[in-house]
Amino acid sequence: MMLEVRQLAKNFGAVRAVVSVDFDVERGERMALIGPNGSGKTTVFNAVTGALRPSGGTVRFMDHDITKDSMERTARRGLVRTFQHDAVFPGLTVEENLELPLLRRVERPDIDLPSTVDGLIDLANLGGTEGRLAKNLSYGNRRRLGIAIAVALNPVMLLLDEPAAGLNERETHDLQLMLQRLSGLGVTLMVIEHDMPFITALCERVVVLNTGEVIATGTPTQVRKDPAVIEAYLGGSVADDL
Amino acid sequence: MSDTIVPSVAGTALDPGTVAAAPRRTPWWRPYLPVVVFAAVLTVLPFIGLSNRHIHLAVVCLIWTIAAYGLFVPYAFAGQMTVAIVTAWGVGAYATGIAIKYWDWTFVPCVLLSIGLGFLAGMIMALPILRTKGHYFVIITFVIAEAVTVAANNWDVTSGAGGGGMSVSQSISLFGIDFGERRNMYYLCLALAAIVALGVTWLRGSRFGKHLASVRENEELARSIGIRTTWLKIVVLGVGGGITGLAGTLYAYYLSHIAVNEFGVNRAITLILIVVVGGRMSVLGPFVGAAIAYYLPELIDLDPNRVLIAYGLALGVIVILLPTGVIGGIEGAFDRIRRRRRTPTTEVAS
Repeated sequence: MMLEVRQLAKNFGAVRAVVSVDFDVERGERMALIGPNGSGKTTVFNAVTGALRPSGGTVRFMDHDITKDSMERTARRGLVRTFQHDAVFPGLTVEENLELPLLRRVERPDIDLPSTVDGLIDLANLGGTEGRLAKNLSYGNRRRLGIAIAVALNPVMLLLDEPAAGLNERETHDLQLMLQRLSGLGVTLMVIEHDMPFITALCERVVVLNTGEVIATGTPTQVRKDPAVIEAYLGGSVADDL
Repeated sequence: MSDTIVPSVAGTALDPGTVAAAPRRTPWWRPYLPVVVFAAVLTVLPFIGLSNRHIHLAVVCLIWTIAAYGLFVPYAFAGQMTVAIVTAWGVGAYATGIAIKYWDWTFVPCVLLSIGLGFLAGMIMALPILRTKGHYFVIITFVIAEAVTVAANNWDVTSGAGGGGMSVSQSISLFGIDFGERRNMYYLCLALAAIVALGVTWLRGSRFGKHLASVRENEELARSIGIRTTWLKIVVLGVGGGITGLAGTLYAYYLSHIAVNEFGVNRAITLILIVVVGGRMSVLGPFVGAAIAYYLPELIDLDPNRVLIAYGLALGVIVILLPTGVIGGIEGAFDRIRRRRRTPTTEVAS
């Protein structure tokens, strides 16, 4: 098992953002975490990656208890996240953006992702942008650069926070190709996303959150038909469209 | 930040069929060149008929330059502004004064002591960063600077008899050269300022400097790629303190008298002005900033009260018209000219 989350809880004062969440992620799996706004998806991400200390429960990554690990330590273990916003170093060039995480790269016996700036640029399809400041890139390129920064660390598992948000159809397609390529290289993926066609094309399994609890788990097709999901998240009319 | 010249590139991100120009690598010595040239130009200043007074002003200006590098390093590299850097200056000056007065230390041990204690002071004063960041941290450093001034004013050793400060009765003598002579002192300060500037240039391109850049640009992302940002911020504020401590030694030796009130918040504001006016991202910025903020008012005999008004006006004008400072503005103009000479290409949004 790659990642095991058990009874994960996170409170902000009296607000219970995550009540009790359980799920597993298998090695090499492409899993999506979905749910309506405020359902606790990003909080789960933050708690799993060490950005937030959980109020309760445990998180195990490759048989290590990482519940109390910092984000820096979690990253060094090979569990790396991306951000929905501010996912790049804006005042640095694309090349510098990739050189930085390469300084922190950890070689691992079970995975060997691109270890050079050129290799990462090729993976992210950013050819020709090496010398540009990241803040001057188009939105789609910035998103792929953000993922390439995470890839530079040679992660075993990537957690992607709404990677397709705000992308147009072509950018979404390019992103999908990039993530499929990463999956082919052995990276386990966990994605928070609202774009159901994107999830259906990319992910094998979906975990649905609502009000800080898991309400359904299954393939994208199964989840779309789940009455609890339709009721809590998609809504009847949206489900009909899918 | 980069040692890479950014060429105009062809092709687009999603057009892999187009051949992109490969980035050109600059030679290793290129980033150091402006500092070497600038320092070489300054070596001829005493030969162009400067009066004794102007050489004196230039010496003090170079000491301010070194002190400003102490603020420049944490601010430009890691985005960390601290008013308490002036306290490290005072620590360096008083460490020198005490070491001479009580232990009869010579210049080199005093320099090492001041750098070491300045480094420690910088790190200790950075500790609030464990709980705060941004403007809140700046406010806390402001409080620290004031609190240390008050405490030092009430300590006999630092405040001196009757609060008159401390006299430093030794002059610098190295390799048989008497640096009590102003022109010699000018060259010593220039050499040390150049060494600091070269060190700062090296630091910027080092692994440590690159990690600091990640803190400045996006601390959350830096943490997510495994960089210990809090530790880095504390260390870089220590480095700034060490540099400013060196300025403290030179200050104490050169002026022969130090007083606690000289190392208060007002002096910190001047240091901030020097860094901002010179160019908060330009390695030569502290040289130019010190010349404008310290030397110029003296040159035109500006009344002390009017200096404060001039500082305020200069800061306002610079922030609005030259947000990257004088050197940053010049660099930006050269970049624009260079870009115009190349074939303009634009990235096609994917």
